[in-house]
Amino acid sequence: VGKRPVVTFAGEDVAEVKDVVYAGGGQVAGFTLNGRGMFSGPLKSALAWGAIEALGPDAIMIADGGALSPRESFLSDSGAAAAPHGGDVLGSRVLTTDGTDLGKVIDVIVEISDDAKRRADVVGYEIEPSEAFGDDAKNLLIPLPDTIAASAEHLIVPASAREFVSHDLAGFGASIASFRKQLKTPS
Amino acid sequence: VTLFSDAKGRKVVDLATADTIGNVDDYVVDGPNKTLAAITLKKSTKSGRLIAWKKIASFGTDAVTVTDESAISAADGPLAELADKSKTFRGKQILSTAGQILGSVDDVDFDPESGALNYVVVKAGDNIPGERLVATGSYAVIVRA
Repeated sequence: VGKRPVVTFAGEDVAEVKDVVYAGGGQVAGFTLNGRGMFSGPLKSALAWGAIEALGPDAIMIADGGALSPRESFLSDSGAAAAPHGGDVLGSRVLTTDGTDLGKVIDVIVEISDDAKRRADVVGYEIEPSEAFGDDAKNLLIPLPDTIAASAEHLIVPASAREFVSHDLAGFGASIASFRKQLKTPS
Repeated sequence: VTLFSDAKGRKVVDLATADTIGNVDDYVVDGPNKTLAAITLKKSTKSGRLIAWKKIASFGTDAVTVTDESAISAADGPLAELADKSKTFRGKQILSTAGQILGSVDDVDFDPESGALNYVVVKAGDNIPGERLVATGSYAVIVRA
């Protein structure tokens, strides 16, 4: 999702995704935005999840520029302002409950439910792995539990998440399912 | 049914004077209306290089005719917006309303009488019927998923 362009139905690219804002419980409240182009910085507007028409592989589609809302009011509405991690997921370190640093978050994996509410859950992170995975490790996908603790600095995942990392999206769906199942079964 | 690439270079003739006033160079698409909005000329002998579709008397197989030279205009009004360089249709990437890139515009097949777009010929992809067109922007051509 990171850096993906935000495009209106008129065919204009109005922004690109800067970071994800959580609503709590791993649900996506929306995105903070950067301007398009090499030298443009963060925009003062944000994109609420409800205003998104489609989250595609190549672009995020919105009806028109009116879908963007002012950043401050969006952050306070979504309750993210109270949580310091609002809009600060990409670049955070992923730490396991047993204190291993798994790596840096470079992208999030969003699962969109099919029901009418179209809830979006963050189900995993793409991370740039730390030494814990060896020196030549490529980017990894790491599944997330239903709920996660997050601060501006760290995102906490259960230690067992490490066993469920995968290298591509193909096996990732199954990996999430088995990971979450394992978390729910008392061991 | 005409491919635009076939029509490119066709001469444009002024029916009042029987002079050739230019050659067809490119086309301007009106996305929401799924039609050609205008054609542009090269080697135009008049000022301006845009002919609005409704000013074309006939889009023939050998020549495009206009009733008189007033058909040629500089871009103005809503046409200027459509004819903006950043919105050039040919070569533009095609994005579906579901946020997926489907390829880029190679050519268009249009009805020489009405100017309606029959389909868009896609480079590295399947042809897209004209009725799926939503809009043409500077970033992409938007088509219904």
